[in-house]
Amino acid sequence: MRCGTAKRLAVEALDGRLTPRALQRLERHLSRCRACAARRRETAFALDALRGDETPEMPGVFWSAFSERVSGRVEAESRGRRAGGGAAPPRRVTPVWKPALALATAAFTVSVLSTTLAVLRRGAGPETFDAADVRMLMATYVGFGIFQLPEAGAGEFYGAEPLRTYAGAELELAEIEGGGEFGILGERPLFEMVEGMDRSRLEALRDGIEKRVKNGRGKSFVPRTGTAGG
Amino acid sequence: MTDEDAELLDAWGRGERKALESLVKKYQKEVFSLCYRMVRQREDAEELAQQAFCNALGALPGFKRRAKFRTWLYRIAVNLCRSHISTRKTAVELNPERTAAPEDAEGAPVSRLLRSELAREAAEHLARLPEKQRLVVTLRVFHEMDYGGIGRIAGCSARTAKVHFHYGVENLRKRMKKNEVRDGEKARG
Repeated sequence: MRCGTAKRLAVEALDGRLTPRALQRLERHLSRCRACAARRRETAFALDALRGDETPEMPGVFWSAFSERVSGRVEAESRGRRAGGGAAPPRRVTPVWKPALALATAAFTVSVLSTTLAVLRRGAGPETFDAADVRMLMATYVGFGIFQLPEAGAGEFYGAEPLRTYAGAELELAEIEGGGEFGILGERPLFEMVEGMDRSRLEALRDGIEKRVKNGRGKSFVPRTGTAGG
Repeated sequence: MTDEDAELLDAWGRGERKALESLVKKYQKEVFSLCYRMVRQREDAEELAQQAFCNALGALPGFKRRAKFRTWLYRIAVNLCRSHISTRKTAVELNPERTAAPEDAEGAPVSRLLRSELAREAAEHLARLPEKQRLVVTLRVFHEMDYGGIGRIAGCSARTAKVHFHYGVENLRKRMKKNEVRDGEKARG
């Protein structure tokens, strides 16, 4: 076993993920390699120390007040929605707008990526860019209409909070990736998706999106990782 | 989703307030703990935990119940904490109460003091890890979540979550070792 493998397996062993057979192989290596044995000891020590960190102990009265406050707030918000919006408590947004939103988000994404690429192509730009760059670029699109769809907040975006709050750094792409359990808040924010990505990867991503948009397919066109979808 | 959670959600849907309270009571400590570990401020953690419940329960019709309610709730709490941290515009700050050296040393067994000091040091290093590593290590070590659930919360695959865990733990080890060396040098004068 190489030291690199032992290093990985040692963490897995401490995490309780190693099979007895792999554990045996690891132990064999550790009995012969003092550096790896020392590293394993240090890792165990660090994890053990961390496990000793406790959250503040709150008294019982804090917890009963907590649950009462939360229940009260949830019920009040639910009543508010019923009174203000008519029918039921937070209802799921009708699927009608989804393709439109997905398409609009796609167009938006393409425009952001295109702008980003344009910045990079000017020559002076960095090979990779970070979250702050993308936030800055996206901030210029905050007024984009799709964020203010009146119904969009109801069941999908953090309850009643408007998505506008999350424009920029927190724009999520789940719907255009095909939805899923968490709706729009279920996937990685755009800035995380492109953070640190190199230019060719970004171009491939942009091309994939454009192709899908051209084909009129509003969903499932943003590749999560690996090759750009087509 | 556990049957118990499904039953409680259904009961609340039928208007049973007790079911709502039970659901909140079941998860309040762990959601508070998660928020605290992310923002390291008790008052902020309390407010964020409450907001996470409100948002999760308010958005329940959008929850298709394919995942665990706990994962859904955690995901919302994590997003709220991220938003909070980004508006605070500073990296995670440590609670001064917790960074101070233990005051009442009298009578406390040395091992306990040492352990709490080491825990404080480890938490300090954890708070300075890159966000994804910090989140994954927190969910794994303190909430004992499986990697599938961690991936859903962190917005990555289970495999990537394992990689984040590996690097998080490795970084933690290096930082603690560095401190140990520095303390050793100080002690030697």
